[in-house]
Amino acid sequence: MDYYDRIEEYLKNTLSEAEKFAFEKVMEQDADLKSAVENHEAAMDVVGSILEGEIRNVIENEQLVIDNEGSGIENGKLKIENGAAIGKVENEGKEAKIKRLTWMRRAGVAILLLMLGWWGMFLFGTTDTKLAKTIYADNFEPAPVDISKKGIKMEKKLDEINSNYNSANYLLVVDALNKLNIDSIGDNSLILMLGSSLIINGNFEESRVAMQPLQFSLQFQNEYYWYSAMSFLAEGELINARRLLSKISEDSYYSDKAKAILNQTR
Amino acid sequence: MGIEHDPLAIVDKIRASETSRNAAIRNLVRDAVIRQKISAYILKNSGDQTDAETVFHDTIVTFVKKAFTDKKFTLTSHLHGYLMGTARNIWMNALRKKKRHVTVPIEHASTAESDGDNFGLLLKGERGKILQLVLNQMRKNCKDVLMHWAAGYKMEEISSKLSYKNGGVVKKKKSECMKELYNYLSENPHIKERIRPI
Repeated sequence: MDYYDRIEEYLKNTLSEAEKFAFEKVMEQDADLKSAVENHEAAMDVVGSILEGEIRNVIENEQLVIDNEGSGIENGKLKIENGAAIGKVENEGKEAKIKRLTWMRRAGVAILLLMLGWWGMFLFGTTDTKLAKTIYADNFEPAPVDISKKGIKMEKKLDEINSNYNSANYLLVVDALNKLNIDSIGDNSLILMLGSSLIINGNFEESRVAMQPLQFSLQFQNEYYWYSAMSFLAEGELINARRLLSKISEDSYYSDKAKAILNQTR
Repeated sequence: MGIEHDPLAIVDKIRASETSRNAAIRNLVRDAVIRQKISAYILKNSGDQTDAETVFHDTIVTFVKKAFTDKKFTLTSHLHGYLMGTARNIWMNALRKKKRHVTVPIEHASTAESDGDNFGLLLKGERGKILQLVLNQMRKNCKDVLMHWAAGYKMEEISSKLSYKNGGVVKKKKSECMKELYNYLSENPHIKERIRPI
């Protein structure tokens, strides 16, 4: 019987009492077997969570579609209601007069109404954008990163970058980090520093692209979500920011802040 | 708007195929009536809108997992009643964890048919994030096979559901995928440590 199958049977509790006893006796004396069982146990935990992961992906995607539709529907409704309301006020007072207008005058009134409607749409359409930008301004702070590393080859260069970062010379930081080719160095602190500096310099999309490797880092994943959400807020993109913030609204260093923003932007 | 759910049909759809399961999940997410009911309950019981959305999603996850993995599971009452019971239990459990002191009115106690305290929600909190990271590394066909296997489906059943040649091929695939995962965890002991249940 396959080594793996035996471990699996043990973990699934399908061995007979005698077989289980014998297996445990061997395990007591065989550190490799013990370690193999532990690995297998962890693998079973992962396997047990696949279904939930798949369900959550579908829910998350559908929620995103609903949120997008929702903002469209709500804004659309507002826009139409406003346009209609403005049109209605105009129409009520001038209904009799309009009937007497020539086609040229009618066209003029139509253009005027269109402009008023557009102004209404612009006013209400930008509410979310303004809110997002205000939240960004209230919450964004440069990532607290210290990349000074003593005793390594690039010590002097990194110290200089660190010093520029701490003195808020973010253009110099971006320039120096790009020259370093941090992708090949693979240091997540450097990536976070670059992402944070790019946001401050107004290169929002570029910052998200730069920070993408952090998404797969155990240590920096939360930072990825937080700073990418900040960059979306800075661009006025509330829906995308909410999607990322919802990932860190529980059990993370950013939970309280993320939750507060999610509540504020509902 | 509320969506009419045929209690028998929805459980069958969850079990039948990935396409029908995903369609059933999407319908549940779009069911405004149950969303509203759960939301009203959470807001009335010390929660906010974010809590309401989290509980709504966790309720769907719990229900779909139950329908998929428990072959004996059938809905004998209205789906909304079942989901409300599950949502109440999830929220009470969350409140207990948060150690908020709230008095639970008797009428809000769990219904007989809903899930008990054991929701088995794994992808929550820090451990959940790490499990999610590992899942992201896995291949789609491995996930499909292992997911069905973990849910107790027989090799022949998996082979017909996922269009494999026969149960033997599925068995081979399952072993291959398990070994890949096993090796990944052996090579990344820090991850293995962090996905251990506390």
